[in-house]
Order: sequence, then C-alpha cells, then structure tokens
Amino acid sequence: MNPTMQTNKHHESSPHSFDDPERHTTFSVANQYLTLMLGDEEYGLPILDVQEIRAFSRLTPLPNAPMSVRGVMNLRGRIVPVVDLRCRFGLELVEYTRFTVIVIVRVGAKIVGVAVDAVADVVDIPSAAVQAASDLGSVADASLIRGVARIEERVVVLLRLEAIVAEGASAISSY
Amino acid sequence: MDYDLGPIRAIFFEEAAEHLVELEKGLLELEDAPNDKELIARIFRAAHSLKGGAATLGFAEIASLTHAAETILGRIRDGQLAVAGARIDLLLAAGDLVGKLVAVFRDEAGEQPSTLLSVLELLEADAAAPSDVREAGGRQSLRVERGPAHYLINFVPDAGDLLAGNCPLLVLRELSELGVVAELVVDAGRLPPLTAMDPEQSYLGWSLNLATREPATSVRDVFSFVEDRALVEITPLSDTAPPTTFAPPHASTPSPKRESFGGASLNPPRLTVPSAALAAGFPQAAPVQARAVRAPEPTPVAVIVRPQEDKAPAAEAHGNERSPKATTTAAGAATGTAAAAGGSSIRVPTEKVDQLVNLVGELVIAQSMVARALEPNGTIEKAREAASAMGRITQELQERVMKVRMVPIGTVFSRLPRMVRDLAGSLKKELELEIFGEETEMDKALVERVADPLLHLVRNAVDHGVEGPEARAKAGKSGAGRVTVRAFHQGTSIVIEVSDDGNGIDRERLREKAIGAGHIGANAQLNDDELAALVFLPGLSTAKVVTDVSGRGVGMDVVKRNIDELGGTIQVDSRRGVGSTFRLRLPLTLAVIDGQTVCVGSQTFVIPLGAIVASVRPQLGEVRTLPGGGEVVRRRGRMIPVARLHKLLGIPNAMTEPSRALLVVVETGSGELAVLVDQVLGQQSTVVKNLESDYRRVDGVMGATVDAEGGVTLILDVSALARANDAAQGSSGAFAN
Repeated sequence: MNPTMQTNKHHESSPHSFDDPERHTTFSVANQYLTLMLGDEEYGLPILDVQEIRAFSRLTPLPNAPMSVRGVMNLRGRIVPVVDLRCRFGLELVEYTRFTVIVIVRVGAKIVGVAVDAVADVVDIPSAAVQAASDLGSVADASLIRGVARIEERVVVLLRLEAIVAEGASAISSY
Repeated sequence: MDYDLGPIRAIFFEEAAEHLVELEKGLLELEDAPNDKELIARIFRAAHSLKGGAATLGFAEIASLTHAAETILGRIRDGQLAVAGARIDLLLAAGDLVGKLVAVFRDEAGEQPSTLLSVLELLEADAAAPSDVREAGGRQSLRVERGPAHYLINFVPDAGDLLAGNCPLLVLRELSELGVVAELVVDAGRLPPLTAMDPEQSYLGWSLNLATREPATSVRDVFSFVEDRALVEITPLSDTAPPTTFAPPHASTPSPKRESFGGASLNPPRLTVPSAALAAGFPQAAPVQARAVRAPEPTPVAVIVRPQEDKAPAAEAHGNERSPKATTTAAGAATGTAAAAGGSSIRVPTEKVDQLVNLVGELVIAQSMVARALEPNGTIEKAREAASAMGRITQELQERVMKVRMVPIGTVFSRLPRMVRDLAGSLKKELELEIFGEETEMDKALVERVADPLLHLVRNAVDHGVEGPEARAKAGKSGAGRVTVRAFHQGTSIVIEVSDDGNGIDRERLREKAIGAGHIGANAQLNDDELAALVFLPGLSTAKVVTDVSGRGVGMDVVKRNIDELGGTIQVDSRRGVGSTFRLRLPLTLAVIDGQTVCVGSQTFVIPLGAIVASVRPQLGEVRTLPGGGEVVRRRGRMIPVARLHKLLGIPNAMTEPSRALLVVVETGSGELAVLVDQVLGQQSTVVKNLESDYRRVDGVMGATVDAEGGVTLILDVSALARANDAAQGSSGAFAN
C-alpha cells in the first residue's frame, strides 16, 4: 500500500511538499477525473477525454451488436454508438431512467457515448496516488481498469477508456 | 531564409496532377492534330509549369524530365521535330514517370521508378536529335546556319514576387541556360536605405543582352510565371531573329512602376528608355536604343504585362489560360494520373461558395426573424412566416451544399483515351473511342469509386468486344472498332454506358462455361438476357485467348460487386455480331437517398426507395416454408425468397404471421427478395450518415439517418440482407460475425 496516497480535492497540498517531480502537475487538468456512479461504486475517467455529458436520449439498437453496445444516438448529426458501462462490467442491468447520463468521450478520432447511472464529481488525483491495477492482482481486470485511487473515504476506480469502448465496438480497437 | 514549403508543396502536388492530365490529354489530341499550334502551346505550358514548380521546390528529377520534354515540345512547336507516334509515346511515358515521382515526393515514400534514367536518356537524346521534319527542311537549314540572335531584355520583377514563390534568380539562371549572357546590368536604383528594406521584397531590376540560338518564344517562355506581375521587355537586336508577335498591350495609363523603371532605373549609357515613350505605351513608343550593343534598328517587341489592374486582358492577349477564375474541370484531378491515396479534397468554384455564403446570411436573418416573432409582442403568424422562410432557405442550402460534392464525370473519362490508345497498340487493333456526357455531374465519392469498374468495362470492350482487323473485315465492318462511352442523368440516377460494335457475347460459350463451373445445371432454361447476365458470375470469361489485358475471368464479377456496393445496378445488352452495351446505373449521390420507412416491432428502418419493387400483403398460407427452413412466396409466377427482418435483425415483438404483416419486394441486384415487415410508414428523402466514422460497418445496414424526432433510424442494405438471408436459410443468427 502506498502511504502517501491522499486527496487533493480541496487543493490544500502544495506541490513543494512532494519530492517526486511528477507531483508538480497536481493541479493540472491532466490529473483531473470525472467520476461517475454505477450503483454504489465510483469510477473515474480522465477529464480530458470527456467531451460532454448528456441526458439520456432514445437509442436506436444496432442489429447483431455486442450486448454492451446499446445502440446509436444522434449527437448533433453525428451517429455515435453508446456503450453501457454496467453491461461492460457484467453488472446487473438497470432500466434507463431520466437520471441516466451519457458521457460523451473521445477515443482517438472516434466519439463514443458511455451510459452510466449518474455523474458524481470532478476530482484531482495525482498519479502517485493511483495504485496500479496490476498491483491488485487478479481481483482487478487490468485490461479494463488502470488503477484505484483513494480520496478521503472514497475509493475511485480509474478506467481504461480505450479498452472499455474498444471491446464494445471492435472497430475502435485499432486505436 | 527558411520558408515553410509545406503548403506550397501541397499546391504543387495538386496542380501537378492537373498539369499531367492536361499534358496527357494534349498529347493524345496532338496525334490527331499535329499542326495545332495552340494545342502544342497548351501542352508546352503544362510541361513548363511542372518544370517551374518542381525546380522551385527542388524536385530535380521532375525538373529534368520536364525540361527535356519541354525542349522536345518546343522543337515540335518550332517545326523542327515531327509529331511521331514514338515521340508521343516517349512524352507520355515521361508524363507517367513524373506522375510516379510526384507520388514519391508527395508521400515521401516509395522508390524512384527504375525507368527514370532510361526515359530521361531517351528524352534527352530526342531533344537533341537532328530535325526530322522533311517538308520544313529548307527553312530548317536556314535556321541552323544562322548565328545566335541577340535580345535585349529588361526584367523588373514585381516587388512582392518573392512572396508569390517566384525567385528572379531562377529566371536569370534559366535565361543563362538559353545561351550566352553577354552583358548584365543590375538596376539597384529602387533599393531603399537598409533600415527601410523589407527582406521579403524584391527591389532589383536587370537588363541584359542575351545571345541565343533558341527562338524568341523560348526566351519569352522563361518569363511565363512572372509576366503577370513583372515588367518584362524583350527586344530582338539582330535582324536575323524573327520578330516575335506578341499582342501589344492596350492600356495606356502609366503605372508608377514603369515610371520608376524608365526614369531612374536604367543605366543611361547602355540603354535609354524614354520614360515618356514608355508611359505612352507600346507600340507607339520610340524604339529602344541600345548603343553599347551594335545592332541594327531594333524592333520594339514587348511582353509588357501590366501590373495587377490590367492583368486579365493582358493574360488574354497572350493566350495565357492561367486566368484567375476558379475552375471545376480539375475538381477531381486527384483521381487523375498522379492520383491515389491521400486526403481527398474538392475544388469548389468561388461562385458556388459565394452562393452558400449568401444563403447562410439569409439563414441568419431568418433565424433572427423567428427569434423576434417569439418575443412578447410577436405573433404566431409572424413566427410561422419566419419559420417557413427559414425552411425554404435551409432546403436550398441543403441542395447547394450537396452540389458542392458534385463533380463532372469527365475527370474519370479523361483517363480513357490514354488507356484505349495503349490497349489498341498492344492488342494490334484499330479503335475509335467516343465519349459523350463528360460534363455529367455526380458525387465526388462516387466518381472516385466508379473509376475502376468503368476502366475495366472499357478495357473489356476493347479486348473482348471489338474484334481484330481480319475478323472485322470478314464481318464486313469498318476497320476501326468503335467503343462508345456515354454518361447522362436519368431521374435521380446517373447512367453510364459502355458500348462496342464488336461481336457481342457468345451466349452458347458462356452457357457451356457456366455449366462447367457449376453455376447452372446442364438443362437450365435461360432466356437471352439471363444468359448474357452470366457474364457477371465469377470465373467466367469467354475470351479464347487469355491476354494480360483481360480474359482471366476475374473482373466482371468484381465490377458487378463494386457497382452493387455503390447501390447501383449493371445490365448488359448484347447482340451477336452487332456489339454489346454495358449499362451502369448509379445513384447521383451517396449522401442523400429517397427512403421508405418501415416498422418492425418497435423499431423503424429505412429501405432505399430505388430498391423497392412492390409492397404486398400475402394471403394466409401464401408464404411457404421449404424443406430446410427457407421461406418463399410466389410473385408473377416465380418463387422469390422471403426474409423475415425481425429474424435477421433480432427484433422482438414483431408480427410473425405474414398475412397480418407486409412483404416489401426489393431488387437486390441478384434477384428479388420479399422482406417481411410489420407495416410501411412514410417516404422521404434522407441524408445518409455512416456508422463507420464512430462505430464500424454493420452488416445489413448501409448507414443511418436522423429522423424528425432527432433520433437515429438505420437504413437497410438490401443486397446484404439477401446475402444474410441466403446464409441463414431460415435459421436464426443471420449475420455471421
């Protein structure tokens, strides 16, 4: 376990208190994550990959698509596939409600929607505070999650966006 | 100074493709009209432009190739070399090579073609070859014996020429290559004090005395890039030089530049140019006097091209086609000789863009009208009015934006003469190619994708269609076979026909082959059309001799598949002994289709209207199940397969009893298919969006469109549905992923 793991949520810590030069980027947007909820679990996506957050709108199912690709939506004239994160993680599926949120992310040149129960927060997570998925052994699927970070009482699972949207839409795997 | 040459290179590559098309087209025309001076001049200009650009950007290989080609062309123009087939072949080969080199430089990949040195050697040898024009012999010998002509040249480049990519040094260097520069005087009179000097401006002028054996036109050609802006005066000094005939400039207003040139710039002892005379304009001007060079009374000849304001008329006067107007003809040049990969771009005439700008302007106004109508003091009538105005504008905007994508199919047709010529040579056939409807416009994406099938059809017509000379003589036909390519619009389709007056398709042979290949049973009863259509099956070719041109039986099936993929159809009409016509029918654009909305379960889909033959509600029991699970329905005395959309696409809660649902009969390209849907809804024209850009290709779906509620509706691909239905044979899980 990494004893230095701590929150930067309140922007209290000074970069100078760290010896590791990597931590000097603590306040840069590169370390900011959008966290989202699936049930009681909180997951994090790098905020730079997030284009926008949209309320749930009607999806058009695609024939013979993987289960996790729930359909396509119209994003200002662009036809964008939507991946259900619950389905992707093998969690119990829930009905989409008006609280369901679609996070529009960019992966390479493609734009993909990720359906989640709700978005929670934007947090700073310095890279040193992240425990790599590979450290966690077999309990974590290192192909889907990058690591785990603890922010005060919360635990945020950081996702590997490329892998998550890639497997749903196999053509994206070229990125 | 270090410039970023990237954009200039990109422009060069794009223009190179156009010049090469022009070069090739011109050379082919030249064979038929060897004395057309205007044509030679056009080819020459294309070569010259290529050379200039290549030299500026340091593409030495291209420059030397085009230089040699240009020399040959120049000698053809001057009547020293004949227009011979071998020479045209050589020049065409040079053009091809330049195309390859352009691709190599553009992609910064690939190796220089191995033929470079040999072609260059041949070109240079030919460029230096003794004259082979018989009839002009007398004039020729006179020319050869004559000493070099002297020209007095004044050259003051435009101050901004460096920024335009023209380096005066290149011009001077090129001049010195023409002969001996006996004298060169630099006019530094316009040089400002150092503090006021802009390093990117050109302040110098030159006057020089050039002794050359080259004709005056070659001297003039050196300036062809700069004459639009620069002051260029060429005066022959010896009477042995033929007076060149340039159109005299007609403007008479003195431009400030010429004043300064006449007044201050020149070195009086050597060259006196009365500024008043200059100001009055040629040809009334007094003869230029050049005392230092002892020459007889010089004839004042000038390429005086006025700066900016008179540019257009001057360019016309010199037969210069580099007019500034935008052009559509080269819009698809990327598909031309030098084409291949790379980001595709469309050249849009400024006029079309202006129209769009205007429309968008109107749209903004209409939008503000709507906004105002919605304010408290607005009325519903006003809002309605504004909305309808807005609707009208958006519709026009859509139409015009679509037109931006339309390019003339001539960009593909322009490749045909060359191909036919080469084929005729290698097959030892005499051929005439006729092309109609080059200006017919179609979507750029389609133009690019129709090129290969079209080239194949023409190749096929030349190789298999048209008979050899003996066979034609025996059949009492004229010696030259005729291949006709025609394009025209018909409704919302474009039709391209490739006809030949050859022997037609040998249906019996085709039948035997089809039986041999197991495509049809030995006793199959097929009518003439069906027999001819066998030509599209894979592995069938009726050519008795396999040539490297065609005859391997790969091809027609690929052509058909390509056309199917574009949502088009292909038909063949063939009469034994009379000829064959292949008819391609393609949608004008891939971007918009007319669609029929259908619903299955809770989902809606669009079926392209063009594919729909009929919609029928079958009687109870009319849809029969075959052993193995496949379903068929009788239509006009024939059984056609039934595809249950809900099964193919895995849609729950659909109507499964055919007599309570509807069969939409579609033409799939390989026959009819009855698609079972719950019901049909409305028809409308829909903008096709692809799924690939953010997702991937979905089998059975050709694209998607945004419906009136802002949701997404999938557009079905009926050919893919038919294939999936065949594969599924009634079982579930149609599309094998």
